[in-house]
Amino acid sequence: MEQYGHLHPLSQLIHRSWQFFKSHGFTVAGGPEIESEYYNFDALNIPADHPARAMQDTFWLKPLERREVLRTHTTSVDPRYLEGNEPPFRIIVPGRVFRNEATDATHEAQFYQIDGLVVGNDVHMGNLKWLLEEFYKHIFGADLEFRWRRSFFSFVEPGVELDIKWGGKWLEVVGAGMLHPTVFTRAGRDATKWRGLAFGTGLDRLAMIKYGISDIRLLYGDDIRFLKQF
Amino acid sequence: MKISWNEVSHYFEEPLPKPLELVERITASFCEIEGIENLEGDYLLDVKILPDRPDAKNAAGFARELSAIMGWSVLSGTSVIADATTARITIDFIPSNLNDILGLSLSDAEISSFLNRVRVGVVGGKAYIPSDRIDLNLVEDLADEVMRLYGVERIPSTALPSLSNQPSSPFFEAVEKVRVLLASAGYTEIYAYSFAPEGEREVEKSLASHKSFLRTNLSDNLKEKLQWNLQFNLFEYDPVKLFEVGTVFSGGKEELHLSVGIAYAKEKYKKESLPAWLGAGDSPVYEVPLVQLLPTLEKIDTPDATPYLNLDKTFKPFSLYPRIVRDIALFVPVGVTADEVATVIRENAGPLLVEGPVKFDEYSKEGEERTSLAFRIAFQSHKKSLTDDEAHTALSGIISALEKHPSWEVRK
Repeated sequence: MEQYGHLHPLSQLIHRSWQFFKSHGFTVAGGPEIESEYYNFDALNIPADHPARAMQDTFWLKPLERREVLRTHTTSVDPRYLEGNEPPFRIIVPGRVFRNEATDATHEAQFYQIDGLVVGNDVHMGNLKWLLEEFYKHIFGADLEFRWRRSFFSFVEPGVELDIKWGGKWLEVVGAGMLHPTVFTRAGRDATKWRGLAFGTGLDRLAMIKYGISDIRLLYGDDIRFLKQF
Repeated sequence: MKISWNEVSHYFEEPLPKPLELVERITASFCEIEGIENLEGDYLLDVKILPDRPDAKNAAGFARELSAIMGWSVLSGTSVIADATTARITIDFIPSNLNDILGLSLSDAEISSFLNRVRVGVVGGKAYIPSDRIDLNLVEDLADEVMRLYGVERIPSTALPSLSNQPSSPFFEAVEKVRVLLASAGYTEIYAYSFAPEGEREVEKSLASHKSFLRTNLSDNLKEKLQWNLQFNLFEYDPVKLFEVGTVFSGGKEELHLSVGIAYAKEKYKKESLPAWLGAGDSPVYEVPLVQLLPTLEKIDTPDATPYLNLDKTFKPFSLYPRIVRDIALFVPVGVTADEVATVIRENAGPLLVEGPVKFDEYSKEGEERTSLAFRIAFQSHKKSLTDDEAHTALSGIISALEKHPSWEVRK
């Protein structure tokens, strides 16, 4: 029989991502999967009436009075880290997140993200572009083509999105931007002194693109016929 | 929201190109275009604008945006720059603020010109925001306006300054170490579901009744999957070896656990226990909070992860129909290698071969001039359950290819 075991494809991708970010001065931060409404939404400047908070999108835990959710993004760790650590710093947050949606070949109720946050007093959009372009080249190869678009997320301003060209098609891979001043202020940091580069990428999607996996549910099927291929 | 291209074009003196030619530019700078409908002599654009932009939700507003992005002039009166008397609010700023945020070095005049294109008046250190631009409130919002008109694409990518201190992430690195240690001991990693039929913490509006709770342990699922995966082994005496690193929700808290397990189809095949460093004794399944393993892990060298990082693999869909397993045994003259024989088997097996050939026996009697070899293979179809006849036909092809070698003797 085979002498070696196999790391899960998502672990391989996390490890490979870590190699890149470590070489650029990042540390890994973590936080709880059961998160308060505050850190998952309010601290990130997500409006009280935002549809993402609704029960059809977010898993709320019983009893509702405790205002706890299964985190919908690892971005929830950003304000926690910002409160507890004096900038400047560079972190990535790989971890499991949850969305309350029916599952099919491209949607799962649980999946993985890597969020990143760089806080300094002189970082800018040009640095963010460089960082993400270098990261995706590290994962997909040096001759990767990029397309940048302006976008909108509550916790950044300005916000951008990045597409990569893979298999002849443009695929959206990451949302990013300059951390919103309100996020600094709510975390007790001086928004006039610091700037932040924030980004979040879905790892399942990257794994599916990279390995040509047709159905996201295979990642959570515990099936050695799948796992031993990687 | 639907926008009529004909209505938009009324605000321009020059004829507009077809919308398809502008989609990329509009998407990169302003809003998503979710569809373009071609109606008798007109195009209807299905647009989604974020953040909320009441000012842009009609043909005039869309035309203003288009003129701002493309630098095209619109009919007079359509786009009026705000001033101290008409402004909703005033934002104090210095142009270098915007350059600092964006990593650009635009002149004051260029910045004013970009802001004027979206009707923001600039006088001295003040930006006058039009009454209907409720989304513009901060210096960062002004940077956003300049960025989208200048083009994100054109901002030069600039290396982050390197840091002098070498970062460390001790807990994360310990978890990575456990993973690689177990993979190098032959264990395969699973990522199971966080949801379970019972537990301490329950979610509202769960997806299904058996997914209402958060799991309290990893081992219940791991044990089940050890047994279930046994059916996919090629040899009955081989074990299934799995592990998982994951969060469990128990005792009023959440905690990262490791669960490791080994299973054999029959007790008599058992020949291996869990790695000794786990301290699990003879137990076939072991679960432990990861923090408890940290002292042990410090004493073990970090193994090389490279053999377990195979990011260049491409997933091959596997068939859900049953496979048929067959063995091939033969004598070959001493000097013929198992690899040579395996190559002949592989090349003549046809498209139904899914696993193997795996050599499971090699034997030469003292003083004999021949070697006995045995291989296992499996046939499977993506389209149906194979019959014995179909497997037999595929096997016959291999056997006749082997028998073409005069000194090779297939044992039947």
